[in-house]
Amino acid sequence: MKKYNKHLMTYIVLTAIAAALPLGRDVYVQHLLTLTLILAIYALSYNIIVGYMGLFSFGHQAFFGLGGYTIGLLSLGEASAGRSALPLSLAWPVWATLPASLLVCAIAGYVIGYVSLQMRGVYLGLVTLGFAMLIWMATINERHFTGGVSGVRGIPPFELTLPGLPTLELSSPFSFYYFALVLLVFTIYFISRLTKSRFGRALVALRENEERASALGVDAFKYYLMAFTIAATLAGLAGFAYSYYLRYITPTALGITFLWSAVIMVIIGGTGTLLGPVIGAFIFVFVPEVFRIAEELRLLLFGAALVVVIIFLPQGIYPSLVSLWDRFILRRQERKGIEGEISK
Amino acid sequence: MDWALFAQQVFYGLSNGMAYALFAIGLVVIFGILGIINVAHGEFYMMGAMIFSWLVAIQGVNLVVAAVIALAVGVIIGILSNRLVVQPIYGKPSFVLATFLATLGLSIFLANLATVVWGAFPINVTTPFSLVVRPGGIAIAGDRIVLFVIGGAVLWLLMQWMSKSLLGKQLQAAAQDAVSARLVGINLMRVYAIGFGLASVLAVVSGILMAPIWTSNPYMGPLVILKGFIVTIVAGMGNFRGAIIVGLLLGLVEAIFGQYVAVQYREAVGYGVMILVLLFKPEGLFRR
Repeated sequence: MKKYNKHLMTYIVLTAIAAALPLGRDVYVQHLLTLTLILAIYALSYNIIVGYMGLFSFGHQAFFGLGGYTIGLLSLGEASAGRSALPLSLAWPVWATLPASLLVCAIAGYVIGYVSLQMRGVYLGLVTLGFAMLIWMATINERHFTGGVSGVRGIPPFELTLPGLPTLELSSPFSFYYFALVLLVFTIYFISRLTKSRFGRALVALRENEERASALGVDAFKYYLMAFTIAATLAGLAGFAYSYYLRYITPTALGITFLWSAVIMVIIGGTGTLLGPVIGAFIFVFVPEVFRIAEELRLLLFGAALVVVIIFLPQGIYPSLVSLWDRFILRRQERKGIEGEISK
Repeated sequence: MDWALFAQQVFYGLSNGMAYALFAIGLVVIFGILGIINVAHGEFYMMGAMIFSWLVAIQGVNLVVAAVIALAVGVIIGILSNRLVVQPIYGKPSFVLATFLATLGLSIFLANLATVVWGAFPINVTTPFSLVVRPGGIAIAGDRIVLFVIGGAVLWLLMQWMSKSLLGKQLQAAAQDAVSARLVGINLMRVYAIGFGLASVLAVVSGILMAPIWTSNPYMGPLVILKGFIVTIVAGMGNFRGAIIVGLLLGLVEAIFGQYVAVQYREAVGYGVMILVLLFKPEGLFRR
């Protein structure tokens, strides 16, 4: 119980620090911070598959993009429909587009997971990659429906009207940051509850030894499918925030670069932890900015970093930092203990 | 039915298929010997095509010299990749996924390195063979004939070398049973290095041969590697003859599908077939 409270305190402090981060910064930094939070949600969702299930999907970008496209296509109104050259003018409000996009991603995740989760290892990765490539190709080709290569533009700003409350309109990076922070905190809370539940323990048992867990009566396929669907839905949540924030969505969002970014953020940050992917997202967005390097150098850097991390820190940066910190504390306590002995 | 059009698509498809086969054989060599999937293979192809195109089209270097330089650079990149990226994690637990991710990192690195060096613009190269003859209304591009002749010769030589030469036999032995191969005195590290070098030569050769046919750009690696995955999966991982047949067939099916069904979904056929094969016959269509 005491440990639980300590964890809760850590998270409250971290959230407070996160809430203070954009204060007094210029708009560009606020923009980068907002992007970091959205990508962190995406990375956390991918981490459910990589870190907790211990499997590799290479089709996760499809769910991120599907979430974004659902918003794009449903929210376009009369005014913006003309600009984007799409026939749709549904003008759905946020409270309708959010469940719609989550539902689309959940269904897509369920179907793709149902078909591919009989596979393991690289084969699973390649099947899911095949599905993602098919979705990507359809998005580019069905121009009259998806806007083709130029995507959906003119998505209306995020505007939520609830009865009895003033209208919440998020049109600046600053205001969107706090919305993204709420989503991120929700995601972290949700995943932490999930992993502590019976369901999460079954997942970890499967990750550690699938045969043994199955022999003990854990239905591997059922649990994997459920976790895969949840991961897809959360990726859709990230895609939802992404397209409302940038107010456009293009096929890039479900293309191979978004697979790369998911892999980079999760592997470099640290798989199977709550804060690893968040740190991964932060590094992914900010390190290139600090060194002020060009877009292609950024991926060059992260490609090399991925190799280095896999060779030298196979657990990722965050778990390595934690163990370093633990060792530091332990050594200090030992030294104190010795000094105590001497002074006696 | 317009037979000239059909014959045109068959020629076009089979020549693409030859490039797929050449490319995929390199993946098969690495998978067969080390049991890993080299994601950066697509970037080895890209590097070959880019170096060759850049030397010929922009620097005005002689074709043969350019090809030799591209091959040399390809071999060096292949051997360095094996030494620096693959060997440090080889044999550790779950190294198949670890090497997949490490070579994915390598592929991102190489693709963006190429963008820094050459810029993101495609390079177009023409050779003395870049002319089209039209017997009977069928357009036959000289570059595609060159691809057939050289590609076919390389594949034939490879198969001969694998089954006849001592080194080729050692490679096959290591592929079948690494432990026993070591027991009979085969130096595995050397075999792995040679396998990687050989695979990168094959990727570079297909890159050079395709450079005059497709334009080359630094971002084409992922598209090519996906073709390679399709071919190796459908053929059955580690199957040489199967990979050649499936490579040719994939090119053919894509061309026919593009002509008679839907040209914009030409490339989707391969993904569809790969998914179906993985689901219903994951060991591939050809027995090893």
